[in-house]
Amino acid sequence: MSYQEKKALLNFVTYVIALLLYANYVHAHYWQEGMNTDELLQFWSRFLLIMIPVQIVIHIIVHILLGIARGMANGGKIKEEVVDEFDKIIELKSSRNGMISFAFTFIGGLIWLANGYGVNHFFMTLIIGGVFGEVIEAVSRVYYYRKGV
Amino acid sequence: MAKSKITNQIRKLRFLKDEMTQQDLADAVGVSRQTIVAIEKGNYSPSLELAFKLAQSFDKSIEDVFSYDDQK
Repeated sequence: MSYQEKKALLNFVTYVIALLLYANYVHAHYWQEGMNTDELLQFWSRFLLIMIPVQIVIHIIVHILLGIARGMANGGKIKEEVVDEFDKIIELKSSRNGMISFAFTFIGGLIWLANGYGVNHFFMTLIIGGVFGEVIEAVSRVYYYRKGV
Repeated sequence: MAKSKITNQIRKLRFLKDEMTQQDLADAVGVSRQTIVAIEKGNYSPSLELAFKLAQSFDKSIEDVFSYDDQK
């Protein structure tokens, strides 16, 4: 498995672990039974708005650690990571696939809402859609690196 | 993924240039080794700029390195 493939899988694993830890923390400290619709909307909006910077910070930390581990594996020499046109095309195509997958789950969330299932179902679908999009993106990336574009 | 209609002689030209490694070629044209692997296998058609750089690194014209086969 190449470095880029490992990085794609690491991104996905980091995303899922960070999401699980964050969701567990929020559920334990901030979730209250019997919230009305306005409170639920506020809860989920805060959940998602805070999750974005949390994910970014965790990804930065993990990539710094990965860089250090890679340097140690190369006997202390830090090898500059080359990002070329092939990487950029794969990045674009796999992001596109991930976004399309997320868009489908967003529509699924709207269908939940339209059928009267409430705000919780909608936001849970969005979060599952986010994970699904990450899976598709990681799989696409590995596929494109192996089979080409 | 369908094979590209563009074929190349990079593997042969590397061999003829003192068995140049894929990493050496990648360093010479400023891409990763994985990109050279993908181009050699026909899994990726490089941009015109990269194609010219590859040809220059072998002191060849672009037609000597790449060819287009419409019948594929």
